[in-house]
Amino acid sequence: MIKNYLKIAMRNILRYKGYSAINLASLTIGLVCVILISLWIQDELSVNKNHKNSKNLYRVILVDKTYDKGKKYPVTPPPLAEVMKESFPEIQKAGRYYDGGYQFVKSDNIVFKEKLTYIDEEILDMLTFEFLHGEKTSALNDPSSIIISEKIAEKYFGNENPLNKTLVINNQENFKVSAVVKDFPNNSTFSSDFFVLFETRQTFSPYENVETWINWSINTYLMLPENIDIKAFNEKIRHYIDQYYTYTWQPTLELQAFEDLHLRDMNGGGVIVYIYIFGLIAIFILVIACINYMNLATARASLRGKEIGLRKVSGASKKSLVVQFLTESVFQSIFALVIAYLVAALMLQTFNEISGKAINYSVLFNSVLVPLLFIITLITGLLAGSYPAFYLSSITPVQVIKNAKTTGSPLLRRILVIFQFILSIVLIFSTITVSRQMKYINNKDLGFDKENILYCSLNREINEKYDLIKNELEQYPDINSVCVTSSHLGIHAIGSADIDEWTGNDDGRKVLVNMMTGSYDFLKTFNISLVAGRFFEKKFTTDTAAAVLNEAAVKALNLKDPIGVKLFNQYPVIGVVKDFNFESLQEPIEPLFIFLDPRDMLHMAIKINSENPTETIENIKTTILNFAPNFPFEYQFLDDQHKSLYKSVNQLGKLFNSFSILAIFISCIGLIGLATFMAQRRTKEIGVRKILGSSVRNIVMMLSLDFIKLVIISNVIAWPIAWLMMNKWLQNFAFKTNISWKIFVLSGMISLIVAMLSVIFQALKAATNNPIESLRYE
Amino acid sequence: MSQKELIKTVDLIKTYRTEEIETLAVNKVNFTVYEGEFVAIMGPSGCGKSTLLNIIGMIDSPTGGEYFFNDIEISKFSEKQRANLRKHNIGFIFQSFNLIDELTVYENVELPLIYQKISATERKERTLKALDQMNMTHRKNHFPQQLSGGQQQRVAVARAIVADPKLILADEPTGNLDSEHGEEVMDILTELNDKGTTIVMVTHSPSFADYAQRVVHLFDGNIVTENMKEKFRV
Repeated sequence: MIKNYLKIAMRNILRYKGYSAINLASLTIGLVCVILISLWIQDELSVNKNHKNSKNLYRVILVDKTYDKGKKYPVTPPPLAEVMKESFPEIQKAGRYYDGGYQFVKSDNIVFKEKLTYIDEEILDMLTFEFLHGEKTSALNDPSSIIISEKIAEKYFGNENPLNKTLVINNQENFKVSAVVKDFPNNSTFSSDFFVLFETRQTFSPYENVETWINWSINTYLMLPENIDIKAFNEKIRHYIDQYYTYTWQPTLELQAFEDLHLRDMNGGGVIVYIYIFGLIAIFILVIACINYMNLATARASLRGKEIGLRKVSGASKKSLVVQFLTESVFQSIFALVIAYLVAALMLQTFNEISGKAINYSVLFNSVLVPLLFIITLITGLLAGSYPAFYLSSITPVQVIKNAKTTGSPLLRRILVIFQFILSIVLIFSTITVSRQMKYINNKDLGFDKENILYCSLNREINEKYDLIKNELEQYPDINSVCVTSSHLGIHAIGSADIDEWTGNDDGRKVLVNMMTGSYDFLKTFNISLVAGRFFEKKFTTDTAAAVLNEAAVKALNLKDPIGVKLFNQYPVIGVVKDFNFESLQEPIEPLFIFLDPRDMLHMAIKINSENPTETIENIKTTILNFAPNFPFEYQFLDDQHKSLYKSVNQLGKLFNSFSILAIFISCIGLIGLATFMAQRRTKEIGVRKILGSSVRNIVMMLSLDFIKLVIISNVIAWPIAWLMMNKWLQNFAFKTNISWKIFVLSGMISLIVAMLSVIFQALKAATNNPIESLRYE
Repeated sequence: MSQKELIKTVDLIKTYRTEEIETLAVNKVNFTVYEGEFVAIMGPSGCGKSTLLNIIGMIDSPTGGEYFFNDIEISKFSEKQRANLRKHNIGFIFQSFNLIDELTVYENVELPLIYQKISATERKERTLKALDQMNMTHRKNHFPQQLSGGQQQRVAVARAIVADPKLILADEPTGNLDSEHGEEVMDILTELNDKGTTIVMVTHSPSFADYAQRVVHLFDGNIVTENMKEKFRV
């Protein structure tokens, strides 16, 4: 029997090529989107899954409730791990993890800038390291031991055995390679290639007392038993820090599940939001494709009426017909899945480029995705086929003989089209908003120049000879200005502190300010405006203990006349700069405290002319290497760093827009199919109307009006839904575009134009037919 | 009978071309209908009667020859010009009624008046009058499918006459009706003709052709005989 059904299904596909093409195209495109979205989601969900203990690991986070509703940070003081382990017997393991940033690593004559990570030995038992050379037990039992990754071993030592080889860090400290571990996966958030004992950190930060309770900069990880009641444990540790940390600022502690590190931002949002958004788009797309199938199948019911009537007369039960039609739709879906797999494989490269992923072909056929997609396809097939199956199987032989109408309920079809259009309009609306937000972020005036600013990290030698270097660099006509600073402007400050002592603060208020250093010529280099007082100048030796604030800080401190006010009882305010976005646009402009402390200068920023960058960079390189020959010259342009900062937002935006456009496209082809059907069904009517004197325009209007009405209804329903969704999404950004009335009008217009374009061709074709042709079918 | 020519064709030709063959449906037909006449066109299937009627009704255009309607040569008219002339002068009655299923009886009859941009009040008046003439007022809110074949054809006739056309073209108006209903339709047409409407009717039935004053026989696209009745029906 199934064979007979499949035969009929195949013949129907071949006989009605146009409709089959529409159904197959929409199901295929729909499934391609679902495959690609599944790959993306799977990739995001797989992040850090390589760590076998991931279910039992937690990160201790700081909850700062001083301001507003509280903000969470993933940082803890260094002594915390050890004391917590002693205090709570539930803790199986505890370890510290500190991302030490980029350092110069040298072996023989090769020097590269590499990311160095400081860890406790217990981290090796918590995270999963696959040891290729050396033993876990002895890998970090010596402060001069260093664990390197496989790719680093190859980079520095080629085919030689890397064990016991020496690596010199910052031309200062010698480390012996004690082990080689397998590289972490590409998408891992633990992307370091060098691991050294936490204790060695002090060596690299001589100015800082690393082991104090006030140094909130370390990640602390805990391993807890599987059955632990996290809620109860969180209660236990909430005020644990109080006994060690007795400052007026009272932080509390909380745990964040290791599996949430990548997916959920501690303060809300995160990748999970996009997983839901893309998941929702996948569902939208499949529903749209299913609606196409339902609409076309029921619309074409009249064509199949005879077959159904005859089958019933020959003894077919309703059930067997339902099975037949469901077999057909499932058959088509599976056929579409096969094509979709091919298309997805062909598109994978492009998809990787758009999404910034590195998914390879083998993932397409992994043991999770294949069965999942097969189930999704089955459900799609059953869903798409359900209404037509039950509707068609209920057609009676008498209806067929009497030639009664068997084209399904027009009301239901209208509801389905409206539903489809609501989804499309929501997507159009969202696409416009997402694009506007991307444009806004990419073009927003940050309050400083980020173009043509070259950054290079400071090292010991540059630090020592900075004045000479600056002086020499500024001799070049293509170099405008040179300064040093702690921060990549527009990306982050270096830290924050509470100001509770300032002239005029009589009620003991506290204000959290972000900290940043900036040397003489900082304003000139970045073209930041000064609104009051002056910036640091070399001739004022006391400026090393002075402060410059931004407008937000002046406002937060409520200073009427800020110049001269003493902060922290020692830093007089000498100037106020205009607010600029010193952090990413996801953060509002917060109070900023700029100071001049050589110990906190990390980067040299050089403003160059854009005319001949290659030559200018070459000059900079020569000059710097002349003064600092023992460190490699590496640089980055600030605007490139900005691009990479917003890369993921832009990638997600592009991905979202691509899927939305495909969804809208699927709606369109369904609409073309439906318009064709409607025009065909009304052939006689069109003929009669033309004979009675109707013009082509009247007919086109009549045919299009049906759809226009549906589009208008859909807009009215879709707008508030889209507005709510986009409003919620925009809340992730401190700086955001507004959802203006133009977006409503534009999405309405686009949906109307798209619908009209889909319909008008068929309408015109029907309206310009010779009326005799129309009536000949009767 | 007035001697004014309402329709006159001179060497009228209509050919249909498919990919391989060219069919001559109307072959140099010279045919005249005078105002107030009732003409029946007869002939075997495929002889070109419906094609001729369609050209006369301006819903199809000739391939060659001339066609004068009310002394205006219209064979080269555009579709728009023909539509304009058609809607003011010609009413159609088809074998399969061709009522629009989605519209009620009243709306179907009213349709030609809408396309003539006649005011709503006048439309109502004329529609009800036409329905009344056809005894269909009581069914005005029904849909075509709720009516019998005879009733549907009466609605179609009401629609054909509502705009008060000079000419009614009827393509096998009784073809889908039983003899009783067929005769009823023929009586209506005769009555309209008596009131001055020119009627050209295609039919297979000699008995219904008998209602006409003149019968034209077509064969292979040519007029073979033309019989003028000696005695007009009263």
